[in-house]
Amino acid sequence: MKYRIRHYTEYTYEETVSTCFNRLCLTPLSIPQHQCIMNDINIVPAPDEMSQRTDFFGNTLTFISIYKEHKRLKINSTSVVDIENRVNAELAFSSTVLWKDVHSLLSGVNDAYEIIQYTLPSHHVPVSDVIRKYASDCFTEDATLWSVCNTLMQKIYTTVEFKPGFTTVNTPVETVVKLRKGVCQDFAHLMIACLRNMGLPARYVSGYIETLPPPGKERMVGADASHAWVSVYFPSIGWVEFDPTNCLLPTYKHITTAFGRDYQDVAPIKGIVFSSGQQKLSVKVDVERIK
Amino acid sequence: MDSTNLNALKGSLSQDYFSNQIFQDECFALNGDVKEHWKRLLTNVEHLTSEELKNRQQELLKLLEENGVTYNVYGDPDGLNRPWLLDTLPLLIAGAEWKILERGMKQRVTVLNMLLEDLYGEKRLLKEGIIPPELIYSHSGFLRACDNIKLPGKNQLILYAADLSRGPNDKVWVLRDRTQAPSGMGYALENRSALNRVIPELFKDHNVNKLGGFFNSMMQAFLKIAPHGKEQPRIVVLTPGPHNETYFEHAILASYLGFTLAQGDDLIVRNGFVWIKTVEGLEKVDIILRRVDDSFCDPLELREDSQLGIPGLLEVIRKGNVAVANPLGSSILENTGLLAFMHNVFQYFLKEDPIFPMVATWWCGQKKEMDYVIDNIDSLVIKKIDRMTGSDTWIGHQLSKGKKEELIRKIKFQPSLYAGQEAVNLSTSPVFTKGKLEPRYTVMRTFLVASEGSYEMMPGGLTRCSPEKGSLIVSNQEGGISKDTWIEVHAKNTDLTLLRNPDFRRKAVLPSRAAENLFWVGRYSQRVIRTSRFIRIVLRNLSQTNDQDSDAMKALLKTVAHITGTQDLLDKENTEDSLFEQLHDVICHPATNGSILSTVNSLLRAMYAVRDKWTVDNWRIIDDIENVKRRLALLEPENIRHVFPLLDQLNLGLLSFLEMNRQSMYRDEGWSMNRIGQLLEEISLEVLQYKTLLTPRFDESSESQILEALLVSNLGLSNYRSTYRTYFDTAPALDLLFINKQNPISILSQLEQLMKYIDQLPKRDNVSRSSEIATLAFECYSKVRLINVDKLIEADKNSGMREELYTLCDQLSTQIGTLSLKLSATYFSHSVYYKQGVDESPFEV
Repeated sequence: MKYRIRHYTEYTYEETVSTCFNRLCLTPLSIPQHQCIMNDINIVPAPDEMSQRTDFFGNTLTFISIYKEHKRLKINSTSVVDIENRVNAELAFSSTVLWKDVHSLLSGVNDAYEIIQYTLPSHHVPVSDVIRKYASDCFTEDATLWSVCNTLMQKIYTTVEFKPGFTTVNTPVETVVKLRKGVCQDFAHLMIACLRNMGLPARYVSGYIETLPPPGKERMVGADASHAWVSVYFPSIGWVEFDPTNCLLPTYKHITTAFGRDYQDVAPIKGIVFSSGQQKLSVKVDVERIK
Repeated sequence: MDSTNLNALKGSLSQDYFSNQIFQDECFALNGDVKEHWKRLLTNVEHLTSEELKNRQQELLKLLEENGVTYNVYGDPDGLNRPWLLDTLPLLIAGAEWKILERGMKQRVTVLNMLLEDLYGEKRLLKEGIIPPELIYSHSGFLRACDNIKLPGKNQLILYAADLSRGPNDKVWVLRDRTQAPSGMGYALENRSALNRVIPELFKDHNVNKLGGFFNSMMQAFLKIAPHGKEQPRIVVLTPGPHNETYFEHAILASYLGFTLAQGDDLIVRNGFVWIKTVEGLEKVDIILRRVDDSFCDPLELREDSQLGIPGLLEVIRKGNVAVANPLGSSILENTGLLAFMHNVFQYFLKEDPIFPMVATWWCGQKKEMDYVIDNIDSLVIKKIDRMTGSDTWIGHQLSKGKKEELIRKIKFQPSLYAGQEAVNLSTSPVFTKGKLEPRYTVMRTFLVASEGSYEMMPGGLTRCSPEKGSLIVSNQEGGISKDTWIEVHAKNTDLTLLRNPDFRRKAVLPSRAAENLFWVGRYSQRVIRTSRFIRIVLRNLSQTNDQDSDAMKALLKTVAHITGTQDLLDKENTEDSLFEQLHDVICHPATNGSILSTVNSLLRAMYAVRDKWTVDNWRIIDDIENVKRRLALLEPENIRHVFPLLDQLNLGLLSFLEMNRQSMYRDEGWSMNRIGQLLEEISLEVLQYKTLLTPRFDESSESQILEALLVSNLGLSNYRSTYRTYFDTAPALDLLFINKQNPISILSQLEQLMKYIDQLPKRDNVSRSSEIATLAFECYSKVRLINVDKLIEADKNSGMREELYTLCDQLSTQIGTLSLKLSATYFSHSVYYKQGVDESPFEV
């Protein structure tokens, strides 16, 4: 399946900005079965410096610096991605690995030294008794990893209401458990937190999802949004993805931009602005199936 | 060796030395005999006599205080600029032992250097399980953004320090490693020079190794990492600022090595390079000796809440356009848990055992080790693997039952963040206190610097002793005592090759911040001088008069409020305090904005912020000002009459400070800024005084009382008397105060000076702004030059006001104010930044 993704971001500043530095994580990943065919990032005002590098997690980061005065910054990223399918989920379905054995099985894995970091707390994912308590009934004694992941996804989907406006980028995941409301980022962080608090390796996936218009309506351009979900490591299979916001297993409708420990590692835009005063942000995302 | 002398010494100085001392001592053997390599020193001490040593001890502390040697303690109200304590006796290390130490420390830093390179490179130790990956990933010092960044050359660790101690079996132990921004070498240097100056007799018959060579090697090490092999790199010392605990050291290292001292917002990234903002514009920076913790160095990619770093720095480092030492990310080596695995790391890299053992350590991230730590908590010291503060260290057997249980809960909750260590017994060394020697626990910090792929060790070090007898805590934060450290070995370059500063032919730069602080030192010092002089006269008048409500008195009191910017003292509705109480407040209350004390505080802050600019003599004066400040703060309102000598002392101190600067300050932009600051302050305060006091027309006796006060406070009384007449009249006074060019503080003379210094400022790329400043000064000057005194003294018949004088003063005030603002916008840096993005979630799927 081929998609064209347009991710438009616009910052409007109250006071003139003299200089800014930004780190963009907007280029979709190229991995087997998931090819980024084209990515173009257009910035106004034109950056004085622009460079790209691959980060610690394998994502493509773009650094831009602007040294001219401006009161508005537009960052438009357009990508074309070709997705075959995600095979790991089908393999995981028949995996008999018990969740309790995962940690000990890891030591036999080649990339164990890398995978281990996804079992540890990170900026948005704390060690927490609240989380352990919330998750405990999903982790029955002799459950397989596969069934634990599905039960947990189901639980989050049914106990947390999808409701924008209640949480921010910095809302702790423990508060989300109390509020029982949040957006995809909160759903993803919560599921990751539950898994890691039980010692399982889980990482954060940032990207997009194709949304279909209600039956009989036209597809609205720009009404989509960036999305976030979860990836869990299955010994001898690899990373398997789960989308707790929609309670489904990503197949060819999820487009991946980056992997990280949590949102902090893969925030689409992070930056420093030399100015005083406020800023306003508007984001438009459009995911269009082109074949 | 005269053994009777030594016995006498043992009798007088070291009486009771062993009464509660059973551990290993550096100086005395267990049977009480003086160890061989200490004998000459103790003989020298004996010749001095205990009485004399006491005197010298006082002298030593005084010298250090006057030199401004300080150590700041966080969270302590008196913690800023705490005096540095130095013992009269050094620590001696025998030559043979030194050689072993040198070999051991070189071996250790070599391994740490390889480890650092591996952790941010191939990660073989993690892949092969020599170090558990969790131990690295759990530590806040492992910075993923720094992965695969390398300094040019073989050494990644440029500077290294380790704390050493001696155990009961005479063995030397490594207590901890300092790898990200090792501190202490500047203090070692300062200790040596102070001891040498105050008690040269101690050095008799010794051939103590000099420290200069080490700093020379340090310079070489920095030159080696210059980007693109640049030959005359510009090097800056990056400091978190005057509030940092070792700010003193940052400043003296900068001036000793000839580097520029800079804070994060003195530096900026442009076009792929790092630049320093100076009064002349941007200058390229090639090498940064950093004393800012690594995670604070780049808010773009590391801690986004940091205001101490340089946004975009990491990308410049990756491009190889700036070198930072020690490299960002090197704090991972300060991970306490690593000590548990270092033995294997030595074996892995060198196939050797460590020459010096480290403290036995159990990392709780492993189940078995955690259980051991919990079971044996009473005999262990528990530490967090991230070194944050001393409060992250617990001595097991000192904990109450409740605290112990709480700690165990914490460990079980996040085991990988904790490590247990064997409690070590430190050796003691003699500290001279209260006229005799006392054994104090002792830790020695050694320093190494990269040199041609290997390392060189400082032939000396920084020794620290516990502040109390029997206390095991040895740290500066807890108020320890330091010692000079003597090594006597034949080194290959004991002679001091002159320090070659690569910058020496290039014009030194004046960072904008330093310029700004010099400007404010000028303004604040004149503000203190002028306001205190005026208030002093008002106080005198007030205590001599019975009529507090006379017109003259009212006008004088109003002026006090105007020039200090405090509340009008006659505004009775707002206060029930007497006038004296209110004046006391205007002088002594630190929280009253504009009070003399609060201005002194601002002045001292500005002085400390440019501490590398002051001579030793100036430090002595600054120390005096500190003393006066403390006494002013303690003065009770009922003792207000005692304020006179204090204000005099303050004034004299500041005047000699300014005179000292006039004699010693290099005539560069910094000097101009300082003078401009002074002149702007003087002119604006005078104009304010004249506006309030001379504009209304009073009866003759009030007018003469006011004129007398004004002339006395502005030092014009005798000039007035000799030039004009013996009684006071407004017209000649205005002539003297405004346009008489022979009066150095007439407004006209001062404006002339102001124009001269403004003319000497560098012309910035923004030419129109620079010329605007000059134009403003000239406008003021011509206005004053064209004054017609006869017209100025004319008062309006109805209002009784001298309208023309009022307008003139008003215009001058406004223009001087605008000039000051424009100057600061042009030459000082005021970059504020915040993080991109808003808190609302952009996600809505």
